[in-house]
Amino acid sequence: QICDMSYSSSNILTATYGYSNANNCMINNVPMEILIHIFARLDPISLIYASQVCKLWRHIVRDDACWRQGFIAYFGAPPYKRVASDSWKSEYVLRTHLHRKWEKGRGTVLVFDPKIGALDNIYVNFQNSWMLSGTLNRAMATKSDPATGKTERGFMFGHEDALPMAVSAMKMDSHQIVWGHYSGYITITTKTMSTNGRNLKRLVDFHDGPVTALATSPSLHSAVVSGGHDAIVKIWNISTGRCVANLLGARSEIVKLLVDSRRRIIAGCADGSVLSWNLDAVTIMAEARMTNGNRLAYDIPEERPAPYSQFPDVGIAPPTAEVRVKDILYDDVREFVVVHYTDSQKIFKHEITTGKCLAVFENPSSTAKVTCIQWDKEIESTTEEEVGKAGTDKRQTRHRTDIIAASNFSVLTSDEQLATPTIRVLVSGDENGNLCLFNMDAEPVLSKPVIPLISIQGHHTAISAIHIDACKIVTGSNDGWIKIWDPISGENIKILHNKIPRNAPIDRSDIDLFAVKSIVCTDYIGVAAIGNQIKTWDFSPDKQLLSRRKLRPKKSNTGNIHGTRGQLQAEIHKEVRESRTRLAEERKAMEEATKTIQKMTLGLSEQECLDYALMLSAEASAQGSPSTVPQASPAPAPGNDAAPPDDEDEALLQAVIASLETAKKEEENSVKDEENPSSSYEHFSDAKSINYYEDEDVEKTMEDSWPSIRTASKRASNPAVVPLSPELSTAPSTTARYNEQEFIDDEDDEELQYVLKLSMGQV
Amino acid sequence: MVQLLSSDNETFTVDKQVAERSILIKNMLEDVGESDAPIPLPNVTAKILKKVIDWCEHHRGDPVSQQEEINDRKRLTEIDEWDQKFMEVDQETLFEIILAANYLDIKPLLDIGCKTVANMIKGKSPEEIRRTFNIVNDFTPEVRQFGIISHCYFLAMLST
Repeated sequence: QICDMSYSSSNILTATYGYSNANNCMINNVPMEILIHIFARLDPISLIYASQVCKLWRHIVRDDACWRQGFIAYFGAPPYKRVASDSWKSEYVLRTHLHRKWEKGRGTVLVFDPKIGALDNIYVNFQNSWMLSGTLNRAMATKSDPATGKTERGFMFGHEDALPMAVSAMKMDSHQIVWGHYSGYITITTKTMSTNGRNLKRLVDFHDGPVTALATSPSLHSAVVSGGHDAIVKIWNISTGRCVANLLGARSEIVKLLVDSRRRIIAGCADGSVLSWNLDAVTIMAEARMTNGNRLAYDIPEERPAPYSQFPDVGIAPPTAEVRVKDILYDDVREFVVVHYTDSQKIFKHEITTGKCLAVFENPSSTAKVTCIQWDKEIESTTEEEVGKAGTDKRQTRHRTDIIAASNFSVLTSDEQLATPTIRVLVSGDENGNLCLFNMDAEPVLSKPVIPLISIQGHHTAISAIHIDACKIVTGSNDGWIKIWDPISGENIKILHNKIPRNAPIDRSDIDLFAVKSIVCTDYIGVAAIGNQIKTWDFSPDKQLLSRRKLRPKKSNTGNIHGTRGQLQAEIHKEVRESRTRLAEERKAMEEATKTIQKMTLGLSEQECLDYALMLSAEASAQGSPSTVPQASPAPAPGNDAAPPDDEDEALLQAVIASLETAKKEEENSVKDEENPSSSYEHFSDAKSINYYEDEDVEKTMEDSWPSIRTASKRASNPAVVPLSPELSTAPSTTARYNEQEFIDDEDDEELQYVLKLSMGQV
Repeated sequence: MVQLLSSDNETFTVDKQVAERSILIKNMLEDVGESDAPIPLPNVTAKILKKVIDWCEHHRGDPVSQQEEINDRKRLTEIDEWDQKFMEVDQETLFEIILAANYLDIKPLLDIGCKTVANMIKGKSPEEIRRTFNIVNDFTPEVRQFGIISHCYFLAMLST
């Protein structure tokens, strides 16, 4: 019995103080930095499990640096841009999650044909699950659902008489389609509530020659900017149909138009020049409305004031003659443009306020011409609508919401705090299928071209469309293949083939039938226009477009086995609430336990207790009859002291019984939950699964929760043994104090708050 | 040739090239210059030093580059077959090798050791890990519960 006692006492001590036995636990004897080194090679799930092994491990894993190291070991480099800026832990978890979704996702890949011919333009609203696809060739557009591939009946036409005749330019956004015609006039299809659908409106004035470029801006309602073959840029008021401003000064056809509604309008021309008119389009629109009222165009044509006109403030000359501007990217925060010309291997970055060339990007290992450029513009989106859109997209990945709510710039600042600056990446695709990633903010050294961070041999044919965001790059090529890449390592995550039957009756030389025209993506969903068809893919965990669930909540909820995100969140909520009450209960029990101890020791100090026990044992041995039954030993105590110990024993017995019962209950729970240790997801539905992780032997749990009472009981019932192990008398009170201290650990409370916040964020 | 003296006074004679896999010894040799005196390694026992020298002998031809690790995710866990065999030792030896590699500053060996341990941790439940490494569970129930709650969300995301 003595052996047993000393064993259990050492067990309790190690369990309480975390002193592991030096002889058999090798791993905790190595220095901490080696442990961190080891942990850096673990995947997120293993890291989380490791944090539940012991206090030392938990301490290490709790440090965000550990997660950062793990991230770098896993991906090979820190990210260009953080997916989640709150901690490296969530970054690592979220990124591996998204990565796996795109890599292994068995979601639906859907191909459908909107039946309007070669698609030139798509607009996708993921939030409400609809999309527009349009073609220039026949001036038609159609609305469909990217989730199901269903196309609405009835086309939208660019011509008043609904003739499928070609237009020279088109622009789609959430509430209108703007058509630019070869004859120089512009028509607008507006989305209306009426059942009869769309009313087509023709603007009063027109360009001299085909309309070649169109632009709208979400912050500039009821205005359209157009550029024509006649080298004039016009701003139109849609409601009056009038031209508000003529922007002159271009010398050739306008190819590309960009609108920064408050500051400038940028145009790229066919002769390679880029022009910028510094003007506040919103004010101009407002002034035009003031002077003109909302009178209809035919009211009093004579009184119409001449449209405002202006010459460009900044002009950027082409690097060589005989080039056309192909594409322009504009950064409205740092005010620069990235220009890319046809038949050029270089990409130029210019300051828009002065026209100064800041940098040239070039892939030195290839002489192929750049066909397509794209950058991660999400961070720069300033208009409210775009921010809102980004916000809703992100809500799919729950805890990103709070970051977005704090506006896009917080991503930059918080990253700087963590000493990992965001690199904005410019991606270019060339005609040989090479993909290059450039650091857009790189400072050129000695006016040499900036070389790519990574260059990937991606496709066999020219790259025709690129989408980039923080966790992936999606590229499409002229042969209709879509590939998804990891921007950090440059690794190919997924390939979406474009399978065409061998004997299909199509002209294989017709690039329009194969090329990927545009790609739009969110975290899980992507839509691409390939030739005549639309390809959509959806790798979201519940394999459903979020929006559809929003529209028909009942229907989709019943069909879902895993439970929707909302349900999951409700469950977490419930669990948090339950564990709170449980903790309160445990706190109460703990207080009672300490009270019992106090009562038992009669308010004596430890030293006094020990003295008392010594006295008792001395008396017992003095009587010369050491009893064989331990329970009988307190009996020979002095008469006046005999009564209180009896009472205590009874109370003690009850306490022990109670503790055993709770322990038994816990055992049952944990046994129940041990059945399926690998899948934790389903377990969240089980309210008791909270015990699941304490899958160690229940014996220890008991000792953990009730060490004080058990040792106390042993001491009280075996007073003769006490002097043999004097450290025991100090053990109970120390343990109790220790537990209490553990209990009010601030950090843990914070963590609980954090979880609560997370789950609230979704509501 | 270089002479190495282990903590229990055993002398090993190895090629200079082999010994210089250890950055510590390399730096020592550079500092001391040519000398016949054995290099004392007070932190390494003869048994472990023998193992480490074995490893260095086998990997003597390997390029000593620092930057090769990037861009290959598989290297996170994959271990050379020979190294795998080499690391098939009891835990005590394994951790002593890791400590020796750390002390002698042999990065590839340290990496392999850490990978071996990481692979031992991977895919195990906390209790299995504890059993594997003889770790005593020193959590009080409250702490454990808090820990579990705080990981709920991440585990949910990881397991979908």
